[in-house]
Amino acid sequence: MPAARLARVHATELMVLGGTTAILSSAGVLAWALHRSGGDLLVTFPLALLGLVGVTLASLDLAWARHHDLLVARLRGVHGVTALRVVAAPAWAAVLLGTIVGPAAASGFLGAAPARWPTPDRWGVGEGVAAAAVGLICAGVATGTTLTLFRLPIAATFVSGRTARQPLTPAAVARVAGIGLVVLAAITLYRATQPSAASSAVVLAGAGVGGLTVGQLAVWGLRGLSRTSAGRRTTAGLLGVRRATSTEHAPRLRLAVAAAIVGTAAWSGAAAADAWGHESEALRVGAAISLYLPETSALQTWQLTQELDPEGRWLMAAAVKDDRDESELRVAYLDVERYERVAGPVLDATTGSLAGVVEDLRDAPGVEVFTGARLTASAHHRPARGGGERARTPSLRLSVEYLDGSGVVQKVELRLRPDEPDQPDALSGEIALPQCEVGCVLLGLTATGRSRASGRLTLDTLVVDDTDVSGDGWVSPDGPADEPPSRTLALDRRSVPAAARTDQPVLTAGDPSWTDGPARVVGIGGGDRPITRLGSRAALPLVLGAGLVGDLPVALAGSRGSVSGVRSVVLARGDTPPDLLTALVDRGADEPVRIDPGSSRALGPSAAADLHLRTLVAVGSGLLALAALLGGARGRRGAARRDAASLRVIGIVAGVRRRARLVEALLLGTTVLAATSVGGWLTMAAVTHRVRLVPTGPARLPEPDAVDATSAVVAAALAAVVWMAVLLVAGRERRVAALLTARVTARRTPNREPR
Amino acid sequence: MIEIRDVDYRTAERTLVSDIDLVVRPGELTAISGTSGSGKTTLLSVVGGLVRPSTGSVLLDGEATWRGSGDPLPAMSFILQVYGLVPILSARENVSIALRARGVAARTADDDAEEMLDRLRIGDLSSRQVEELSGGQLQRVACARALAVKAPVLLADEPTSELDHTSRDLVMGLLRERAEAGATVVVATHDDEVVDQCDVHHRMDEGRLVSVSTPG
Repeated sequence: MPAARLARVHATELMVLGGTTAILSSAGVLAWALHRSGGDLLVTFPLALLGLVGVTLASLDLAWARHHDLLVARLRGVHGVTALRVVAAPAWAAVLLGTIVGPAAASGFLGAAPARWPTPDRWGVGEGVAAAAVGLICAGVATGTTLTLFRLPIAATFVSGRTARQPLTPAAVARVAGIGLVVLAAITLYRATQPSAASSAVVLAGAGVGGLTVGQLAVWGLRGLSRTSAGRRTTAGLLGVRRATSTEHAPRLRLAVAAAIVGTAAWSGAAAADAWGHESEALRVGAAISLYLPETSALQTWQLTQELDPEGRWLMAAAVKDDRDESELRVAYLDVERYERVAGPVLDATTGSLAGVVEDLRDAPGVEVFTGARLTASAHHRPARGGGERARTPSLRLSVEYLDGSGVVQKVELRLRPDEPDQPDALSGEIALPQCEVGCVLLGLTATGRSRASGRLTLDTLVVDDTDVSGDGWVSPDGPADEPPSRTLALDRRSVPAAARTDQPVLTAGDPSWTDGPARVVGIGGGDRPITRLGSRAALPLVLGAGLVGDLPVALAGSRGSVSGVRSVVLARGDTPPDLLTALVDRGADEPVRIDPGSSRALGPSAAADLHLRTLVAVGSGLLALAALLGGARGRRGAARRDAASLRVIGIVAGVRRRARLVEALLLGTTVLAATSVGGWLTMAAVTHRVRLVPTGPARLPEPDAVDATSAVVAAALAAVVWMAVLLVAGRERRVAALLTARVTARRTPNREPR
Repeated sequence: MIEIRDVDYRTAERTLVSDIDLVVRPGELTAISGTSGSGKTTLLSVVGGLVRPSTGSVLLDGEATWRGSGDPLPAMSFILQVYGLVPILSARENVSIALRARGVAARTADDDAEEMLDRLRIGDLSSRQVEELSGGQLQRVACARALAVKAPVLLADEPTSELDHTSRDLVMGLLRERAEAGATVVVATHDDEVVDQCDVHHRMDEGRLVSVSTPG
């Protein structure tokens, strides 16, 4: 047959084989490129498995379409390699074309696709080898399927030509292959239950095996259904059921179900990893923009945000104590009063959202910052019982510790003297307060008496310039947790502001031993701080999967500055005016870090490449299934014509024929829907959820759950709708002309459509 | 009674049937013979209402057999040269479905189909897919399908071409039975022994009726 006529007559079969090869070769090229970027090639195994099935199907269609050409060749005495060359040459040409088109399509895709695909800038030899290997495998499969024709006796070719529906695959082989699939699925299921499942190649390949197994079970189920109650069906029902269960649909049903399941599992995995990456990035950065201030204390940072953005519209201070070691549980303090406006737009969609708990986190005294130049104190001294005259008229000093504006702990000492000679117990004193022009925080007081002075000192006032800074009272730094705050200080014992020892409300995330464990943490200044757990989350801003989050002003209350492990951060909205960011940089902040709109940064190169490999598998599976369905459509069109002609001759009217097609489409669509949604969910729940999608670690977000029933149902519905559409469109009777009916039913034209 | 009046059938290339004037009566077995390509199958297609005659008309009891769509009248049944069986159905279902199309209940249609296949001695193959049957078996299934519906008109195109003598006589006996029941039966054949078993014989040559005789 001349090449042009051959291409015209077998255009559909050649296009499907070439297209399938192109899909696979482009996938091979992209997969290899992603592998070079750290991706695991085993992720693509399900697609390779489907590809093998798809190429076999396309090759079988082409081989069967050409079986009369082989017959003619054999009758003319052409045998062996010569006959193979004659019959298989079109298939080889289609494969060659697909092998060339595939890499070109992949290249075009990368040129048009977002630059976020983590593939190397230049393709190397490996990509070429991958495309060539795919082409060789496809050519091998095409040759093998053509060779199966040679095994048919010439007489069998004649006989099967009568109905044109003779499958090339022997029933026994199909049955053994089906049983083999079920056994393989059982092995996969078993391996998925083992501890090492996450890195197991068998489990990685599980979606492909699971998909094909469910597809095989769907074929068997449909056949079982067909055998029951055939006698009671209506004419349309009988025809529809028989068509739906005919052998011509079985391989495509298997492939469609498998592709939908593989696609669902891969897509769910990719979506889960992508969502994990986005959420990790959002929680890691904490807002749209973050700026680290390496030389600035937490208090200064908080003051800076108050100064630059007094209304709290753009900036929010935070401090992270993480020692830069992911194995440590981390602590983050945020100025949660500003959370809703600054961080909310980024974090509210995450598991680490603080919406709804802002007020609870702030339910403790916050830091009191004062400014001024002079400190004045007034107090009453109560001598100890039994003390002598000397003890009753002591010379007392009040040592005041505070954190100055540059984050340094300062100490001043006031001498308290009697204000009136006749009232020796009423004391007062005054002293200059250095470094408090910007803002200071009171840390502690110690009253001391000369020699044997004893008793207690009740502080009446503690005033900086005109501001009373004595707060809610004072407590012993190491006293019992329920010690009530008081203005009375024991001599020679340090007291701290009550706010410094108030329970800090926090949210926790991560290890239960942490969330249920100690009720104290090392505070922002290094000292112990009691906490009250408000609840536990899967992840929290800045600490991600392990640690706690509290309010920064509460944490700063009574805190002795930032210890070395504390990093000061300013979080900013995405639309923060640039001059505000510039001002922050001028005041010592590092360059702003903007949140990565993708998920690659959090995932790392390997998991990001795996994510794209999964996307590739999902898209490739869909395209393979579509190619197979469209390939079957042409043959179906011919069969539909023949059947329509035969049926109208025996008096089956158009309405019944239409209903039969509808029954067929509905039955197959329902089977695809049920098998794919249930099978997809089962495959994900039993096998693929064990595959590690993202990097793990104590300070990362928990591993995402890739079992997504909604995805399974959506993919199943999509597969069912596409297939039903193909069936109904390809099978519809395009006004079967009377002449056509007469020709089909009167002439021996078994495999050639009347033209 | 079928009246064929001045029928021609032409395609763009050539005339396949011309100047056919013929009356076929119920109760008779009418044979149409001729060499391959003489126009037998085309004439049956025109008579059965599968194609529209270029000129003239075909009437069944006064009603035109051409209904404008190519769908035959319910009174017609066919044994097709290429059987026209539906490959996805079993032998029984191929027969049963023709009965169901005429309103017979499914269970009854299956029973009647089994009975007819038994009469054609292929009852043991009734559950087989027609894809699995030989040429002779397929032809008998096609005959069973046309006979089972007991239509007033039966147009048989080479109904015995793949059959051995015994089976041929069996089929002709059943066609005779239909004719005796009052049906109009037309058999297109090139088998003289089939012709001999018919009541009226028309011979065609190059699309025309060239002779009429009464065999036996």
